[in-house]
Amino acid sequence: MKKTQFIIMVLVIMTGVVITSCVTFKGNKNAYAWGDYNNATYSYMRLSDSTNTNYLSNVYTKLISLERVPPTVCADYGYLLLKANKQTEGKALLLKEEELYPESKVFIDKFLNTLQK
Amino acid sequence: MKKIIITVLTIVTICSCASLPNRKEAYPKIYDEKPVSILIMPPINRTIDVEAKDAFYSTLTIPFAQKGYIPLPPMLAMDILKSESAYDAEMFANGSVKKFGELFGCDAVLFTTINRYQKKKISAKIIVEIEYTLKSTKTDEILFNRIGKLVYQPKSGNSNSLIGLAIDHAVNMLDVALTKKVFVARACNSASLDVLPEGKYSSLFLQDTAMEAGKNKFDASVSSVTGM
Repeated sequence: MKKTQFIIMVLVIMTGVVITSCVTFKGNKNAYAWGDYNNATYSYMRLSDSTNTNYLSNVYTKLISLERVPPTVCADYGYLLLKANKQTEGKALLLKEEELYPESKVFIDKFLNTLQK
Repeated sequence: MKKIIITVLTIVTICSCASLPNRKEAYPKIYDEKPVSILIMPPINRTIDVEAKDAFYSTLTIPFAQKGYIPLPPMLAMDILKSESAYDAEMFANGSVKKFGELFGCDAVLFTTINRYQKKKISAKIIVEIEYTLKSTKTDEILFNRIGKLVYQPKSGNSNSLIGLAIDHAVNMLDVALTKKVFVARACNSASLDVLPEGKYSSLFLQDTAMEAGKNKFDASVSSVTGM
């Protein structure tokens, strides 16, 4: 084997080793779809007027219809509905969040208890 | 000659892959405790940008949820924290967070500090620097800490003439003027939290221990950010 061929072979092998050992990345396959959540929450946080509230509500409505609803969406949408005096729908969504993500149960129950007082 | 080449390449390979700790070595406590629910505190704002706090708060839910954690609902949490006089996270960052676990049932509390949130129009740059600290509500231990700094600077053209350079700069200034700081903040979150160990709802939960943890201080420059 010629010296040049040997060098090329070694380089190819080492490049392969580097790529396979360092660059391979498997992402979380359970990641959620968020639609326009980022922009809607950003706008609402800056100014909670009727335009931005409607924008956020529309985004939430789309997200809760997904097969895999992202965490926090049902609860925050429920809270938004409660603030709009839609008690039944609001509470139902907060309870749906507990059902989907039981880790939020203590927090949500505490909030629901304050409403009853 | 062959021995020298092999030795050099082996050293390069080892240095490129083994110089940084893996996630298990860097963040052992998070693997021990396996926190799931996270209370995201309102950011601590060390900048003069009064909008930074609320704007940045809106960016934190998605990266933690995508990593397999369950953030407590941010809009509801924000209002509850305000009503409990806990809106200023500075008051709790250095103290015990166990009471948050007892009150809200969360496993960990996230503190973020915005050190820089600047748009520099003359030099056509946006600079964001954030510190992320995740504290256990069971032990008060720091489970994860990382500082991320991201500089957004649009690509310069290849103009050699003075007029060409002036046009490039004008285009860059316009680009920066149209880019919101919050876009850069989101990119900073993605880059800085990429090495956070995967949470319970991730398909990679407890399978990422050998993945590289990166440096504790992340510093990068990008020439494009998306609005999402």
